[in-house]
Amino acid sequence: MNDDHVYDSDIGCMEAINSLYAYLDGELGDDVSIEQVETHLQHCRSCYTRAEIERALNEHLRRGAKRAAPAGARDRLRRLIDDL
Amino acid sequence: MSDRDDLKAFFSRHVEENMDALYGVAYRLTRNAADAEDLLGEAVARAWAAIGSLADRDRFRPWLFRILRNCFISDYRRQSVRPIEQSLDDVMFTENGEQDLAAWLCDQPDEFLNWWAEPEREFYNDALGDRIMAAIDALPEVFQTTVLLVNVDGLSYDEAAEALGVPPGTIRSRMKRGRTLLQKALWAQAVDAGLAVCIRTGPDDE
Repeated sequence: MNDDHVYDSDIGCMEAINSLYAYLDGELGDDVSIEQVETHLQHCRSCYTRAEIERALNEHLRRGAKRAAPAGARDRLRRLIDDL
Repeated sequence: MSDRDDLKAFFSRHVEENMDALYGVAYRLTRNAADAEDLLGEAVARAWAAIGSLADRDRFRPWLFRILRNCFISDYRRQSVRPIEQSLDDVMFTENGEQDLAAWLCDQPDEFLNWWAEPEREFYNDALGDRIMAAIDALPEVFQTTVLLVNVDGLSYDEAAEALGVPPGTIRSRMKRGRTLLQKALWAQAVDAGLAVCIRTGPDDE
């Protein structure tokens, strides 16, 4: 188990993890600042590694989950729109 | 150019720009190419019929995603063998679910983190890609759709909220839950595949 590491002007692991996904998605709100999350990640190896995992997962998702519409489907949709 | 022509040109252009993303979502929802194509066609036809309800053209993308999803719910979900809502892990539906999730993540052994941090992990990247997609496919639909809209199709939390008809805070919560379930699934797969046996400690422990 990871200790809830807290440093000067730092948030704890729980708070960092709670904000991690919004931070990585560029959606962090006002409750926890980007600086607070980044400070924690600089000091906490576990949370830093977790953030790296999530970044890698994001990259896999971006590359692996995209599915191009087949040419037939595109043509059908274009014809449908033309006929609207 | 008439107002209708202008509107249709706008509609056509934006459907075209979002076609791959829309098809991707339709495919993930229906799980087969023929149904995905039909769903997409139905959604586009309905969108055009309802174009007058689009108050802000800048919100076209989430508006269209929402129509696509509503089409799936009304026309396809009943036919689907896959339940749209699945029972979730016990950590997911407690009164203090958010804190429980964070606690669950904090409680994960560093073994998991170290496994991911291993340089040799690169060796497994191709296989890992397949495992990630399998884990995504296994997510409850509500989390899967949210994660895909945000992390694959690049919708903001606000746009995803609009597309799914939920408050932005729900998207943030779903992202956290969905990604937590994803990590759990990947870890279980790593153990099942014997990959976790390869774990060595990270640089701080050497």
